[in-house]
Amino acid sequence: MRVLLVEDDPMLGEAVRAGLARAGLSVDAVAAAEPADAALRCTHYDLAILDIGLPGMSGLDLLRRLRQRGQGVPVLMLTARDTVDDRVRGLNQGADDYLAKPFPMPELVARCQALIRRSRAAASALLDFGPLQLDIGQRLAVLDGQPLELTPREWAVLSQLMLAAPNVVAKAQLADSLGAWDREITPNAIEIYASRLRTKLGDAGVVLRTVRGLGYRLELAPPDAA
Amino acid sequence: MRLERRPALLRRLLLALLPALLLLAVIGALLDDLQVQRLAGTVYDQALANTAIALAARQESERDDDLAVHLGALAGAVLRRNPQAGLQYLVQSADGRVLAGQRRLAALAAAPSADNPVLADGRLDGRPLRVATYRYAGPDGEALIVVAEGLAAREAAARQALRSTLWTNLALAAAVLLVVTLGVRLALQPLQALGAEAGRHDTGRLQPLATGTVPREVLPLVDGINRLLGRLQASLQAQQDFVNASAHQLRTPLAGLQAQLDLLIDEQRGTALMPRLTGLRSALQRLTRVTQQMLALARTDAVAQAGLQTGSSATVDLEALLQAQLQHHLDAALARRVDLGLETAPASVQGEAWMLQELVANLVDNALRYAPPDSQVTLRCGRAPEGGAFLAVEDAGPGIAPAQRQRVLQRFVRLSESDGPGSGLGLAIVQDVARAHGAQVQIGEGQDGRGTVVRVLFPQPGSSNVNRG
Repeated sequence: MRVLLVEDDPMLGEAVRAGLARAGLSVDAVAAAEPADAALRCTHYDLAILDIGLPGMSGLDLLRRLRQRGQGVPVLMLTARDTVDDRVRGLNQGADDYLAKPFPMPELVARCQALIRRSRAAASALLDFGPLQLDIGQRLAVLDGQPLELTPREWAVLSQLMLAAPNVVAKAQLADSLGAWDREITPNAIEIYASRLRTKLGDAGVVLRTVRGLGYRLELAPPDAA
Repeated sequence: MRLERRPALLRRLLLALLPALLLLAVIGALLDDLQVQRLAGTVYDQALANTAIALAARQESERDDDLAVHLGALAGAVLRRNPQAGLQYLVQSADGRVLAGQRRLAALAAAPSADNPVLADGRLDGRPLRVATYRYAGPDGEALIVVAEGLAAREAAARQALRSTLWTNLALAAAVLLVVTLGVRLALQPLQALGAEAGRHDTGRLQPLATGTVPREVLPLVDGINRLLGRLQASLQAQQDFVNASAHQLRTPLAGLQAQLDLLIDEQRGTALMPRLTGLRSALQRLTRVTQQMLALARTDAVAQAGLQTGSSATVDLEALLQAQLQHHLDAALARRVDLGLETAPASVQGEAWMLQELVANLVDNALRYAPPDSQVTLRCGRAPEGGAFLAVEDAGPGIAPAQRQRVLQRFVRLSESDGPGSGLGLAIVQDVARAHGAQVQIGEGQDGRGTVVRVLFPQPGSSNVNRG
């Protein structure tokens, strides 16, 4: 997985590069938008991380160019300002996610992985989440190398959670999406599917967390905790 | 702004005018009185002189011995016409014989002079009189005619005149006061319109007052106010720009520090350096948090001083806001083994989304800080029984004593050092944001009397909900 990082602060840039490398991503780091633009023209990246406040051309300008060329590479924006304007402008111009500085490194890594996971699922119909893989085209689920039997509804719930992670998916949203082919889905029914999924996931390192009053989130169990 | 207990221009004007007008009315009446007395004196004197001449003419025409009878009839006629006059008369021949009337009037007769008849003041039996003396010289002899009358009639006439001029003058004074009142009201109308416009202004924007209809006398005042508003606007803008620039300058190095430290901790896991590194990380987290809070407070201040811009405030969905904030704090809650959850019903308010985010973020942050492990922190929103929308955050922490509940809303107030690291700014931000939205902050305890519930109650839509900090 190849990531382009555009950040002008050397200390932050170096730390992010090292952090992403530790997570298994290979990172090209540049300090300005112009060389980044050139790199994006001739190299395929799975993800671009753009700081908004760059010297010269801003991250938002670079994003606009990118999208105008029709490049669909997932983009994560970094912003140092606290106005929501930046986020709204970024998302309107085609950013896929944003993160406000300062941020915990694990959160940055999780969001990068989520963006890559989503774009891969769209391109190759493969969903990866730690020890869990879904082949959407062949409807095959594999957990820890073992095939995982899933009913269609369980499949739908699990794939949605995998696509959204690390974000929480609201129970109502899950019910709505299942309702397209089964009108009788209620939030209570979702609880039943979640409970069955939790049993099937066992303790292989994928945790289905209930967020009280909101919905569910798929997490990777911390390596030392399990 | 009501005008009670303020020096009203109209009242000042009336208070200044009233004594002057009354004084003028009285002086006017007195001057009129002198005039009338003089005039009445002349008229009455003339009548007295005419009476004397008429008596002489009578004597001339009759020339008989019945003179006394005829003169008596004539005097009677004059008396009837003027009953108060108390007219007395004497007709005396040149040889001193009394032809008619009262002999004792002879003492009042004036000495002969060029004027004929002669009018003079006299006194008889202690009473003041006006006396006309006429020396008649006809073809058949001479006679002395004396006519006298009392002063009562003239005095009555003068009093009557004084009364009527006094009433007229007072009526005039009242009319002047009425006209002044109406005139001042009319003249002050543009000022009142200006005041009303300025009053509408304090709901928000620092826009200059319109000078179109401002009277020339007031224009310097309005210009001064507008210059002041302009300077205030510029300084608030400068403050916001400074805060925005500072935010950028502070956050990037903080992000670099945190990222480097996270990496270092990852690399040094299990080594002897770990206690120092985690100590560093918690100090950095405190620094990050207080930086964020100070920036939020400075921005909130600037907005609160300028008033919420009605243009930029939008409908904020509280349910979505709480969901987003729950997601944002979920990892921090899990790290503290706190069950962070929602109990929401649809609710929305008019306001500034980023300010409300700061408000909720600080409430959740506080709740997580004080919540014991394996307890619940719950975010709520919905329609309050009071009518407006509300949001609330409940924790099962130690709670805040009722006596301290107002105090903790102030800046830099921390209840005790044992509370753990905190800046004392969190609830101050909550209070500032709430105030800028016209909302109330209520601090109470949880349902079973334990923990803390901070509830923010927004005004009902339609009531004037935006107010100044």
